[in-house]
Amino acid sequence: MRLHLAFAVVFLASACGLGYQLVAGTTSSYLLGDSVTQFSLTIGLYLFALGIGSYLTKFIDRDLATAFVRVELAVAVAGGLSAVSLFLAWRSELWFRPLLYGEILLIGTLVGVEIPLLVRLLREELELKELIARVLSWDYVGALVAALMFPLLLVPRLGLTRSALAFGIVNALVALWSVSLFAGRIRRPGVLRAQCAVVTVGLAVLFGRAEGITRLAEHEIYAGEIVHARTTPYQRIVVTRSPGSFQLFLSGALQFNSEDEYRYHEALVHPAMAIVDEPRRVLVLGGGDGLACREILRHPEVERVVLVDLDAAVTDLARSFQPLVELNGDALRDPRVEVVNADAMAWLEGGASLFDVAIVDFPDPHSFSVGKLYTDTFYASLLSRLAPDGAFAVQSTSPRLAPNSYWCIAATIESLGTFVRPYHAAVPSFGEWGFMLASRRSFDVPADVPEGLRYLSDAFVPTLFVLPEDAVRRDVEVNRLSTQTLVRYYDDELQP
Amino acid sequence: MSGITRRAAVAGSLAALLAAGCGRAGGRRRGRASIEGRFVDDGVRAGHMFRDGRLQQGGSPLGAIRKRVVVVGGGVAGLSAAWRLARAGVEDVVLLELGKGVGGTSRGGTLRSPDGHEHPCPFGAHYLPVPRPEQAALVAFLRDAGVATGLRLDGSLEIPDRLLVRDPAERIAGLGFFEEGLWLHAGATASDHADLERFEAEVERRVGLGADGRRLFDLPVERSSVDARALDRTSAAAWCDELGLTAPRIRWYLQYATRDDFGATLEQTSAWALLHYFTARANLLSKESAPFMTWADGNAHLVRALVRSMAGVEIRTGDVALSVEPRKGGATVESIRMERGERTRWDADAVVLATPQYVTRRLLRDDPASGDRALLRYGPWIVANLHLAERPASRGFPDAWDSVLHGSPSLGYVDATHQLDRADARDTVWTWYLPVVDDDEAAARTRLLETPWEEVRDAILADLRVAHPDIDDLVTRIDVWRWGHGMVKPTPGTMWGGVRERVARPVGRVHLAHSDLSGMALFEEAHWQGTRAAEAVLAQLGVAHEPLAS
Repeated sequence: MRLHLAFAVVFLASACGLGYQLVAGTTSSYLLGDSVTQFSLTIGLYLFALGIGSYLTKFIDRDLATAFVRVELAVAVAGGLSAVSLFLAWRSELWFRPLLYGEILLIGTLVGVEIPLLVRLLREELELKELIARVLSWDYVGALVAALMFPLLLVPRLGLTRSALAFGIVNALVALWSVSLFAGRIRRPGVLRAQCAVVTVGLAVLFGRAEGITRLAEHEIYAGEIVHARTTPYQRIVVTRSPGSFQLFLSGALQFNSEDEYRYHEALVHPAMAIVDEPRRVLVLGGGDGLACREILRHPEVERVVLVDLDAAVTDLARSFQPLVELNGDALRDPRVEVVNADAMAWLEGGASLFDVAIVDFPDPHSFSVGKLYTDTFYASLLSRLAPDGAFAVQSTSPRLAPNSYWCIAATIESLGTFVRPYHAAVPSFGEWGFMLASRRSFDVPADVPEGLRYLSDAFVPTLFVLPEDAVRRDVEVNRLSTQTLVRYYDDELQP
Repeated sequence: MSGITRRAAVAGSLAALLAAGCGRAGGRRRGRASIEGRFVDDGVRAGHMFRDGRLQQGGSPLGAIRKRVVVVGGGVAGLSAAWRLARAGVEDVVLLELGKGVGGTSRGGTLRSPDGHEHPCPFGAHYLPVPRPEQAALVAFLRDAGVATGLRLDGSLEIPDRLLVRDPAERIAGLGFFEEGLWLHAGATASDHADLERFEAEVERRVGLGADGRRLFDLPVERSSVDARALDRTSAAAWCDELGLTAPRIRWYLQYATRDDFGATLEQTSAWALLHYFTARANLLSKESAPFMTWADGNAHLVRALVRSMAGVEIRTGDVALSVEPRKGGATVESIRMERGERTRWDADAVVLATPQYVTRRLLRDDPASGDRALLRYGPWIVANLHLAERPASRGFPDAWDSVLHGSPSLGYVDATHQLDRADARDTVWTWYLPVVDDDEAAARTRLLETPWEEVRDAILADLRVAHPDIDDLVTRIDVWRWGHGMVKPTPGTMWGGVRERVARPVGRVHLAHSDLSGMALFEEAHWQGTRAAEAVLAQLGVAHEPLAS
């Protein structure tokens, strides 16, 4: 009877051990993307750590039962908190990986101690060959059960953080049970029982509040599953996937959704191309995803496209991340396209070559460093690189959600004596979205776009230039380097 | 932090800061040992040799050179005098500067960071408020230099926006959390805010004209109305006491202003000077202060423009003037070239003596105002250029041009890349400022020279660590400038007690020019004094010119 109970301990401890491994692998794939690497690393490190644990047991000579209970409790705490701590640490590029791998090593080492200790505890009860056979078979059965329950039952029902906490609670209960099981060999069972109870209750409380804790973590803002994530010196890049589409986020802000980005990029590119007679040389500022380039390359007269994006990680993604490569038609490898990773303002001033069309596709002016790229000084630099008959288009935030910001961009471009036509498009993922079309010479509303577009047609383009009543012009100040009024408008309008 | 503040006020900022540096360093950081750096100040040795009389004896025999005008001193006043002379077509001018470079406390330069980037940064003064149209000399210079691109319809200067301080300009940290601006809201009580409002009302009341039709507080200070001058008799501290502005929050804020502009405490500053700081650049109608122009290497940009604009002026650096002797129809200057020990006698029709008064009184023979010159007090400054491998994280309001640490004896730091369009450059240079506001300036100077670089380094890091806990690991180099006489202090009575008037009087054909003659170490004053002295020379030499500094 006692032996059966002991094998039940083996079974449960082993199930929990595998559970933590699955939690670590899934959490890291979820947060870092690239699941093959994450799972290989997790499994390899974990198995290695099991070995360390097994080796360390040779230094445990006395009070084997007490040691076992304590190890169980330690596993319960480290394993139970693993997912919560990883989610909370995720924002920190510096701490996330050390924490992840540290936790894997720690849990693996502790779990590695369990089986050798148990074998030694039970060695007087059974002959060695019988003992090894039974312990290890229960060990592997435990692993199988955990592996089946994890994807089928635990993650769908409880989610990752609560699954880990559930494993922790089971571990703590196993520890409590072991105190009774090995009662004769434990000197002060009362103290150990109390410790077990504290850990169990603690984990149970966290289990009840796990939802609140996870909401603290940034990943909650993403609706889809994260398939790629990277922090660069400039921003955090996250790609998520939902059924049938994927999305790119930069520093938490949606850049495009593959479902409807064509609406945005057709509207951004083709009006400017339409008002220039022969757009041969085209400049793209920002837009490292290559989607604006795809639209530009639809125009057969284009000879050269220069794409200037600060972050090489984004342009690399556009060349190597297969779903994005398919979406942008591998535009960044087109021989007509030259990719430059530089600060747009410094690049504009560092050269002299002229362009017929410029497409300005920066993130929204959410910070002072991006706000500079919407100032009169910036547009003056841009105009100096534009052919006399050239035109440019600027993504200009939402005229409905951020009307002051939208009209501030218009007023800033106009302050240089430039003709500006504000326009807008409906992009479901963004809502009502705004653009500016500008040129040194006056121009008519464009009415000529390439054939075969999905959103724009010759007949439809002029309607983009009719603004609805809720987006009427506001009286706002010009955005200058010395005032950064745009960042302040945007902050007032869009940040909670 | 408040411990440091109180100590700073009582026992002097250098002592307080060094104590903080030693107390908190503890040796547990591993970053500090790898930080390079040294003292980089210029001209200290030559200046001290001159002071101790060691240069006056030696040297090879004199050669004599005739010059129309000799300008002694290559700070902003001397350079401005040379600019004005060149502008009036006077050729045959020589400018003697004892240091390796010209520009005085407006120097700056390009430092190479350990990872190979070139970073322009200031070594001292680093901004200039856009002058009003009435500041004719400065307006003329800025137009000559191409800094101003023209005049607007209302007569104001047209300055390209990229030369103005970029937004956000300032932020202040209390306990490591930054807010926008210089007035710390965190922990401020309703009564603190009421203090600020009361002070601002006092300031606004004084942005206006006196009965004589002049601005109450003007730039140059010389033009100010007589009406407010009585304020010069009280200290800023006593004036604040009278108004009931005694709470620590408002006192720190106001003393930040006097430390920033004058390197002095409220007790050491005349109430007139405090109000001048807050009112002299304000528009009479809008009451708004003029915007600031700045450059990555600070006012060194203006120094270069001055040097460029004086074709025909020979600039001799490393040339120490030993004596200036007025004589009939001109003056004689003796100087020695430091590196070769050659002495030269300059016979000039006129001399512009653009040295600070503690130097002037040792140079000028038969000086009637020698005793008055000794009355002026100068505060020492430490200016440090910190190279950072990347900008450290900070909490609260994002990176700004000027970051101030509330409660610190330092003035905080200025980010040299704030004015550059380099989102792709992650390393930067911060210029950190410490006015040493001790009452005994001479003792503070001695202590400053005796303090090893390592102690200064630790003090700086301890100061910044409050807001940037990871600073030790990001700083790669700290170059420290010791300005023994960084700024003249506008102590009570200095502005309108008669001292300035007496020390500024020409002696024969020797005309004096220096910002200390204005009682305030401002670029505007240095430039005006230089221009004024040069125009006095022009008048004496009978050279036709349109006065800019009348």
